[in-house]
Amino acid sequence: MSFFIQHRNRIVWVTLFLALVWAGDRVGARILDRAIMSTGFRYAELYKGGLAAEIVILGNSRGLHMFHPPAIREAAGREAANISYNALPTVLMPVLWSDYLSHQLKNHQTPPKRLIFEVSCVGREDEPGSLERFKVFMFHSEPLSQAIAKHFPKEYVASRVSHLYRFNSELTLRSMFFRGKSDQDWIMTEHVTDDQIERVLDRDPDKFLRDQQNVIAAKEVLAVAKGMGVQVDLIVAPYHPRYRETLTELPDWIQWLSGELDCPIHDYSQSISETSGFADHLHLNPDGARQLAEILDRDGIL
Amino acid sequence: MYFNSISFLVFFPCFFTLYWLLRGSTRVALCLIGSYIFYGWWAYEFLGLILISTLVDYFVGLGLGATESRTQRKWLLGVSIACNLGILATFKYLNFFAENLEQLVAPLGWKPDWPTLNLILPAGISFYTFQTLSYSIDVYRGQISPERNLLRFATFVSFFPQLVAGPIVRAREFLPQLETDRVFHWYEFERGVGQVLQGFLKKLVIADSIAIVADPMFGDPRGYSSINLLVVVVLYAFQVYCDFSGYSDIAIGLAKMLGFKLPENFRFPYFATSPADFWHRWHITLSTWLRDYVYIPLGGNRNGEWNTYRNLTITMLLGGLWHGASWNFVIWGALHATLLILHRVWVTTRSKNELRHEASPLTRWLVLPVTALKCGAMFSILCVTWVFFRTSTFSEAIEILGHIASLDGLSPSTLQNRLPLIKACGLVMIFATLELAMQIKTLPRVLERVPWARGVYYASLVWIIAFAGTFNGTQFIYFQF
Repeated sequence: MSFFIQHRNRIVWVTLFLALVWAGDRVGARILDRAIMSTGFRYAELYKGGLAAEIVILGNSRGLHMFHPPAIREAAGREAANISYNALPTVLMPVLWSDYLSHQLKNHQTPPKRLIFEVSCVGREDEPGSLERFKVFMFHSEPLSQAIAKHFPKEYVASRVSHLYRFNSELTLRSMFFRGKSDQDWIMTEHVTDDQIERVLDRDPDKFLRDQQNVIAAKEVLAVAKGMGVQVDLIVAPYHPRYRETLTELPDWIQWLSGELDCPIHDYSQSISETSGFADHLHLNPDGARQLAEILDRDGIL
Repeated sequence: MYFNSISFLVFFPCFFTLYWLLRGSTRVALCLIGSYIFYGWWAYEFLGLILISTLVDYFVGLGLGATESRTQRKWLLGVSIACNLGILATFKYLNFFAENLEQLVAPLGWKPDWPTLNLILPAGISFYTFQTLSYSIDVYRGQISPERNLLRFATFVSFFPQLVAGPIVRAREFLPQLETDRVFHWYEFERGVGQVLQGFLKKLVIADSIAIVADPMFGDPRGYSSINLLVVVVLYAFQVYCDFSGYSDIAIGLAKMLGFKLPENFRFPYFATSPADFWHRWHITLSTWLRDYVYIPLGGNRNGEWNTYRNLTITMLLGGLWHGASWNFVIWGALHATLLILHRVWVTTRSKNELRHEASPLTRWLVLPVTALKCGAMFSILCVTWVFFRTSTFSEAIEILGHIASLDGLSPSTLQNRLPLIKACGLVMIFATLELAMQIKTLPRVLERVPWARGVYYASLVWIIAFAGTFNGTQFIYFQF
């Protein structure tokens, strides 16, 4: 007892300090959450029940920078919503897709008619940090929270302890770019140069993994779509022609994945031959995206 | 064990509690055991090297204390130098020397086929060998008495907060602190916690955020525009500073929490107005070590200008080489030697002229802008030297500097990896403002006088670390030295 009396001031100081750290953490997190949810960033919109559309696009950066909603609107006259993201891990795709559908229903919207699923992500190894950055939205979605808890338990615990830590993510910064505007016209605008392509060709070409965890996630996407009566088109989007030549194992891999998913895959990997339509070896720029939208419309996919 | 690891987060509170529960030699023993656990967590097999260094210098110290014979004392000192530099040479420089020797004799038609040793560089080897060396030299010079208690001496060599990346502690500063039981002072503890948080902020928030953009660029600079390279080179100056001074802050802060006082290692180095000023602010414990054990024994500035320049050059070349077995570190040292010499020439010439001119009121008004200009100029030069420090070959450094000078691609649209780059730039700007507030003593004065302001400041550090820290367990840059 005498210890507490003797050190009363210090104990009060420490208690107040810890209370301040905790309160600041919660208040700061709440402010940031409000700020993010008020932006036009795709996942803020998704968890608000926005982004109502006839066509939804899902994939990693190749989904994001290939299927440009303004180009689709121009080519096919249909509203599209792109919920793809740079380095989006395949295991997270069923979560985002079902969250999209459930929030649409919650917001009294009808489900989309079609899902375009860019499947080259299924053959990719996840980049470090690509999944846990979605912790920004984990308190808006129980399945997302569970996915992070399953794959990144440390991140999950840290996000529970410090709510500010949830916002320690690229997605926080990115969403701030889209304050007061939609991000649905986001696309890479560069034009790839020969020099850049040469440098890429110097490296080993991408390998296509046959990862069962990713296959299971892709099957879940299909199952969720089927459950809601949404038609799914599996697509491999274009590669830069010179880079595509190096992807010798791609046709076999497409065949293998098609068998695993029991669903045909449209191979558009060689559909854009003009190199001016590419932002880099993997992604299109607005010109390329316009060409691709026209091709897809012509083929009856849009 | 790294400071920025979960294991350390568990280790330190346990150690701290036990430490303050124990007294006397048991507490010192705990320090030693804790230090060995801390070091052995990373690679226990290298504990043997610390033990060798400890035992050799302990017995050399005892020997020096027991004999008055000049010859014997010289021999004993020779043993210490040979052993410490031998360990350093074997583990750090052997392959470097062998490769260079091979290249040197190749034109003579001789191709020696000696085996290359695939040795891992033991963490902190340059720090603790310098520490034990300075002990033996100080005992030899009669500046300190030899330490007779092996437990205390071993703790001095391996004290975990500063074992791996400094500050380099002198025996005369640290051993007396082990002789008496440290007393818990709330004031020191609180400041220690604050300094540890500040260190983590520098490392996790600034240095590691910059590493995300700097590492890929230094790995393959060809694909980047001039403006991109320029921005990253400037950012790297902050990365290396925050990484290293962050470690020092954590080390000094942890020691404070345990009741020890470690020497200051950084004093706002980027506010330096000259090369000499920079070395009074940057890695102070290394620069004073080199001054006391290399520069002054060589003659210092006592034997005329040319000898001073020679001594400066040797000292800085060795300082450069201390950082690693690479010609780029030697070039980095040579650049700093050149800067110090040029500055010395300039100061000597100017002081002669100044004797003839009285300072006018106008020049007094110009002090602030001129100081700012000098800081800016010094910082720019430092950025150039850091390119040699960061790259692994001379040609890489020249390629980066050449590309920047070519002004090829100055549009901000050519910036790559923009989001992390913007984050890093924003954080550096906030940090620079904070450093300025610290340098002009505004913030320290407020924090010293107002307890609740200190609480808010420390809480802000926690919030910033949680919100903007990079928690990928990146190693401290100076671990490799």
